[in-house]
Amino acid sequence: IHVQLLTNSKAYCSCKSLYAPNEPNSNVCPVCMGEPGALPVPNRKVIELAAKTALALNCKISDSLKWDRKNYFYPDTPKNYQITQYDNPIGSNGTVQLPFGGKVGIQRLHMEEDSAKMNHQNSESSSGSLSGSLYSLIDFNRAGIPLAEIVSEPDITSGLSAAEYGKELQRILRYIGASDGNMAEGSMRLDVNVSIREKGSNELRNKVELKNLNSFRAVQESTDHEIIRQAKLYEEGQRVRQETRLWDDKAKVSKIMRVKEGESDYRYFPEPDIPAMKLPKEVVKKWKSELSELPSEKRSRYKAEFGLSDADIEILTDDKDLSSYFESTVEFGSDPKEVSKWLLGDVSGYINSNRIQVKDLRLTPERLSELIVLIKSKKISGKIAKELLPELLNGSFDGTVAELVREKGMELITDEKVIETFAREVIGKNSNKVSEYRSGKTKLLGFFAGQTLAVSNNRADPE
Amino acid sequence: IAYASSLDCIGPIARSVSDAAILLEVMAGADVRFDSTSEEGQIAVPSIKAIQNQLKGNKTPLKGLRIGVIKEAFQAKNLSNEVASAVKESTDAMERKLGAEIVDVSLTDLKAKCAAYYINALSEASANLARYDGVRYGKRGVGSTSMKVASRRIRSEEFGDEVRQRILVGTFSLSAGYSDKYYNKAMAIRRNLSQEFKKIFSGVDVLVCPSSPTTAYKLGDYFKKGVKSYEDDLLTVPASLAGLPAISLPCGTDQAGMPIGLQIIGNKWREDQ
Repeated sequence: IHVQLLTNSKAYCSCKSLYAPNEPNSNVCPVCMGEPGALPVPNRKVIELAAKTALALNCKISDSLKWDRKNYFYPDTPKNYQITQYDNPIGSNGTVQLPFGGKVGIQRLHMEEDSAKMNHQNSESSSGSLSGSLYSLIDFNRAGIPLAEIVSEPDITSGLSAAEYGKELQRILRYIGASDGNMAEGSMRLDVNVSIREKGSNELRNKVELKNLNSFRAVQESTDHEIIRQAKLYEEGQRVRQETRLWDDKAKVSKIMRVKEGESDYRYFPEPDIPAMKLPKEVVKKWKSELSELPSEKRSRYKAEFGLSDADIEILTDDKDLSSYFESTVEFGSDPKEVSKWLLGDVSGYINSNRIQVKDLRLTPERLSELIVLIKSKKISGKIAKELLPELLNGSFDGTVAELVREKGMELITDEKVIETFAREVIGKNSNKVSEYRSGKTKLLGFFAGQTLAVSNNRADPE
Repeated sequence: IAYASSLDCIGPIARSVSDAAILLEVMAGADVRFDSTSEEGQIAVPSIKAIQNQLKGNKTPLKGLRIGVIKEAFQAKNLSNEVASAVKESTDAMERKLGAEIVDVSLTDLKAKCAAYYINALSEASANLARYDGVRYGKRGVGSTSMKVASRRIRSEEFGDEVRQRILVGTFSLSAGYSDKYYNKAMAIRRNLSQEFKKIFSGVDVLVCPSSPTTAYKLGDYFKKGVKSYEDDLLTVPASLAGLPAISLPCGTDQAGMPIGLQIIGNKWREDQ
């Protein structure tokens, strides 16, 4: 998995690190363009975010930083080598806890620079692929953007787990603010390496690399498809070649991209322009203390402290802003289960239909908590709360919820004498239904209750 | 144009030692703006005025200075007699006339160190020169329909023979199956050399030897010698590999009137000496 780290500037120069596909070659300089005499200067923030990500993945952090050159010629690589980390990755030997159980080992996490973005033009197959294209355009805005490459251990055994692993990684990255993990924009790219073996066998066979996976669904489908493709080959007595295949999300098949017999020779050697430096333990400790609570920790805590259902926890903790909102609301004194119900129900509905973010909500956690507490103390009913909600959500009312209730005269009526007068009114108007009820249609009680409630303008306590 | 990053440094050519010293004072010190400082921490910039004042009127200005003469330099097969005697005369003068203490020191296996230098430099150069591919700059020429075509043309036609030779050798030294024998071995020799110099400098203040085994080549001779000419660098290469300050001064001429070079090598950060 390659993720772009959220720094202001690029990995080795001070160009802005931005996604700007409409202004190609607007954030470039001699360093990231590989012009003569340009020298790289490592970006401190890159090291910090890479280390924090590695810590969030429970990796061991190296006590020294060393970069290497990976040499190969390609138009998207301005220097015709990439400055990366080869034999001393900043992080190694980590694990990721998957939300529905299971663990995935992390072999390594290292820092490197992104390549330029190529757009192949005028190809017959309008897919923008290299083959059949007449010429290519290169945008160097992306060249030099800092990346963290994360390699997992071969612990994943299905397309579903692969997708889950990808999602959890995205969650973690967004939680700690290391990356926005946006697959559509290319700030997170997944390649899956698949090999299969007979049950009980320990030996790993040839692996096939799957590329062009633009969604978690594609990750899942392509992985499962590949497992079956390889199984079929083995069943037919054929062998699986080590190759790279491109996933076609429309046709739901993979096509061979290139055959990889053996490893490419990248002639790795230590980057002489960036001297190796020490990474002091105190610095790493400080970074670790700055890490916010991770998704897996939050999930366990919500279960233990609030006793919410797994399904609710999954949604609440998926987005860090939503979980912060939830926690703030609970802190104001309302019941967590109720908060969860309102947040995941009406409030989420509002957020989705208005296409806004949690942080844009005009309804503050304090007000939501107040609303819930008012229901609990029977100042208003659930039905009344639902009526008040729209105004609270769009922020058209300035004061407290209690003030809104008073202004609209929506206090809950609990006085039995008052409710009795409403009931008598209903009975008076519906004598025929009363006879039906008396002759056995006891279900009509609901009708009478509903009518009474209506007469009271929904202000009577249903109970 | 970067050549070998870990070895590239500014090498001024001046008419006199004081001119070179003035340049040094300007260049030395931390570089905040472009962050090309080679080492962190406070290292004093030598004050040339202070040194000149110290030496003024002193009949034995080198008294107290221990000068190590690299004996293997005088055993080099390619060393010319005239160069050897000119340098010997200079060291004698340093001792008898200027008050220095001369000792023999040993810097082993100069040939291997020279080979290590070339492998190291050429390997880095092969990567540093890779960017000249005609994609982003440089004359593409007619019919350059792909990067492959453009870079092949540019790199075969615009790079000179010597450059192409060095790129090929450097690429080979790094390639799979050969990197251990060449690149990695060269780097091991380089690391050991630093340790070797540390030991040597515990007994002396500066080192002296000829700059080159011969005087200047005649035009065209360099290419006639081919790769063998690399061997003539064996005296200047050790200081480069170890990152030590060194200076080359004329110390006489040969029969044909060509100047002979004397090399003085200082310990790390001891340009003052």
